[in-house]
Amino acid sequence: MIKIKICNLSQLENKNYLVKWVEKIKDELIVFKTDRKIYIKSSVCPHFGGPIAYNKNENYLYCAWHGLRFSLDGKCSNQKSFKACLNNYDYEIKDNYIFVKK
Amino acid sequence: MKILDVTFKRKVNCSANVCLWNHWDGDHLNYVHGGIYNETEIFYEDDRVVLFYHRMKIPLIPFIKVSTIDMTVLKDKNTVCTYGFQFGIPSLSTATYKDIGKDKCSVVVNYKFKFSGLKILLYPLIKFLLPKWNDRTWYEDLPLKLRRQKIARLNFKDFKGLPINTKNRKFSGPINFRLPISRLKKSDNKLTKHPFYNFGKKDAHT
Repeated sequence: MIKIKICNLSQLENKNYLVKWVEKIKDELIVFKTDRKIYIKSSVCPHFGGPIAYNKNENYLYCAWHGLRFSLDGKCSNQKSFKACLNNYDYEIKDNYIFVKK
Repeated sequence: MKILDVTFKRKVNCSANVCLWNHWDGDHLNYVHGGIYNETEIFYEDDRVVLFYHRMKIPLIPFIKVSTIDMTVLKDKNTVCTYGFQFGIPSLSTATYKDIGKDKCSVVVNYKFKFSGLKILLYPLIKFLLPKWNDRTWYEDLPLKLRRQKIARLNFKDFKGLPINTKNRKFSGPINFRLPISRLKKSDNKLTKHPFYNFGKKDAHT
């Protein structure tokens, strides 16, 4: 297993979400924080590869290209026939930094 | 009668097939070009043709909205022709995408508008708006094409995503383009009751 430093916790405080390309795992990640928890998911929409963003007010993820919405568990919520999910990543927090684990 | 004939030439760091996919992906219009397109529906499509319904705003005069039906045809493997009828003016746009190197292609778009009768008065307006229209859609589409190219090289599969195993996230072969492109099912679309919907072909919309 590898651990890769993604960001400092303070970087998340001022933003709704943070998007970062991580070469070692060849994926673009979205890091976001709800009231209770931090999440790290792939920000590559499994539909056509569009960029995923996080709507903090209504607490869902969405694709800017085709309007697909995803719940926090990564499942598509507005297209019932669409079965692919956003990849989820485990992480750990150490010395105020978030490390993704793969 | 008067013909407006304008051509735009550009180059982009993606393959011609990525541009073709972008041209055919009508579902992104309402989101990526939301400032122009209010509504887009596909009435019919097969492996060469798509019949689009658009409701769109005019650049610089967004309070004017135009409804149009465009027929887009894949004339050959590099060329897409779109026949339209905006403001009651017949138009033909021809986009040619040609690979000029690995993951690089040239894009030539030619617009022709045929003005007759009183509609000749609209000639200067369309001539003025056309470069703005082309510029705007080009720069709105550009990040989409570059991203699509990047994920294609990561072995991305439509409706599936990136390969689970990181080792498989690479692809150096040719990027394929096949019509009709896969589309989301429109389960709650009013057009499922429209007489044009899926006209002529079963499951054309799935």
